[in-house]
Amino acid sequence: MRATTQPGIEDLYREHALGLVRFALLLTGDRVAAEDVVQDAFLGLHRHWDEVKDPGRVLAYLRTAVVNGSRSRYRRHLVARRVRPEPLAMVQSAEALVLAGEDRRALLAAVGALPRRQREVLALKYFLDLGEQEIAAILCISRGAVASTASRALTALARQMREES
Amino acid sequence: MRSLEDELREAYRAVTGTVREQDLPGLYEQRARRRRRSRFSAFAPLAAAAAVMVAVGFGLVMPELLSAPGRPAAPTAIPATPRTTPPFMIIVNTPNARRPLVVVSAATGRTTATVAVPRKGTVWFDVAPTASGTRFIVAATPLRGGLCNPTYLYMLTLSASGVPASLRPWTVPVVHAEIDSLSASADGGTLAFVQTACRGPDQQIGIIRGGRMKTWREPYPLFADDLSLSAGGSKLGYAESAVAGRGARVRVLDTGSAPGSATAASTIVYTYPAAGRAPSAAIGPDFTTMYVSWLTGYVSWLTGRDTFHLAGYRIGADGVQGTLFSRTMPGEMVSLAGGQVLVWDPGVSLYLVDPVTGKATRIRTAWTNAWGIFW
Repeated sequence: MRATTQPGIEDLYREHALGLVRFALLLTGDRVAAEDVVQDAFLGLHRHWDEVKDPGRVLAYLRTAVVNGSRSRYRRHLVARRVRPEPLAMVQSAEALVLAGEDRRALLAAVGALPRRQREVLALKYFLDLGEQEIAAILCISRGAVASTASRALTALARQMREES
Repeated sequence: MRSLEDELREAYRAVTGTVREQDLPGLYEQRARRRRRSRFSAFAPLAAAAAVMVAVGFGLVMPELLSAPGRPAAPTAIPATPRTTPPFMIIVNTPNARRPLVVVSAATGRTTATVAVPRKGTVWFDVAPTASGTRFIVAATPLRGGLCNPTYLYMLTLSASGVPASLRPWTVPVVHAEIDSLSASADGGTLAFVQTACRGPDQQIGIIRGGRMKTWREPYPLFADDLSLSAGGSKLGYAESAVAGRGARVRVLDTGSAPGSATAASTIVYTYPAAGRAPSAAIGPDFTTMYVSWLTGYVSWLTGRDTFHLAGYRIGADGVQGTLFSRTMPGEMVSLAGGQVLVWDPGVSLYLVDPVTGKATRIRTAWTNAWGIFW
């Protein structure tokens, strides 16, 4: 009889690391910090692997860990010892800006100026394409708060873009 | 006409497209890169001219003045620290791999011994050399668990040939926290450390002396790193992170002060340039010289666009008293190896830098890709 096995941590890393690093890049604005945050998320999962009861929740756990890790990157010197990104590092990243193109610079700058939670909601909604319920679970806020935060963020962006033009 | 939401999606895709799957490091590879350490307690264990030992005996050294965009500052009248290096490097490989400590002869570049971790389920992760050059406080922690894990401390004593003579529990064999950035006094009787937040956001800076622990609180969002303990253990230098509105700093803490706020117990001896990132610092055991480094430019370990700045200063009770040199070169962090400055560019090269002129010599060693080099 062949035993069934669950995917190992390495399999999960291969499957999800790229998307999570990209997501973390939007939150941290820094490539190295993003990789470190994702690394810590997987190591945290590894530490509690035996306690995982619902494998279907693993990705949600990792996303939550990435959000929390991105928030605390300043205080965890093990996470980002060699990196001290500025709050608006995403819009200061030369490589990212060049590749993003001229047309998007103003928009990215406006996103970078938003409050942290608004940036998180936008990244979860428009990069990961998650629904309000999932976003609410990841950020530990209500579904209504997700909707209102997204609305306020888009309003602020629209206002900023109008002023830019 | 595209909606704002569509524009946002496209902008996100463009930015995140800079991250490609083939560029991602492996799951464990990245952890190794992140926690790399190089540190040396900066005491000359051998009066012999180890600069010669390194240049000749090493047999792996390629004397080479690095091409440096910034010309090193002219030497001042400040006496040079004796240019000596300790006889043995301790190499820590990726902790996840549960590999032993490796003892490497600085004279030959050859491995003289390996040291297995004595406690099952733990891994080596940090080392604090002492002045003797043959005694090291070494730390192990459980691989599984978190920042609340205990740290097991041992005193590793090497023979003159680099073979372990003993590995015994240190004065305080267990610290009930994961401590890091270890630095030892000359005799190995005092150990300084930082304790990353286990419960709560604040970090602790601590020393253990005479079997007793004393800690100072480094309030969030500040954190300390790169500890340098003076020979007698009375002063503790450290690099303090930047926060919004100001750059990173080097502080010197009076270890005789009462426990409490690290800020209150310390003085600022150096402030990094505001645009500088990744501050690193090393202070000599007599606290008369200090070496600092930082990065400028876009952070990218893949493209290597960072510029590494290195500067040496003479310091006193009031802070910087004179500049020894200031230059740019390849690198990522600075520490001390005997009387010389050690610059490590992990995975690439190791350099010994003259403490007065800033002249750098590249060391050909097989261990540049190690997780930690303690010399």
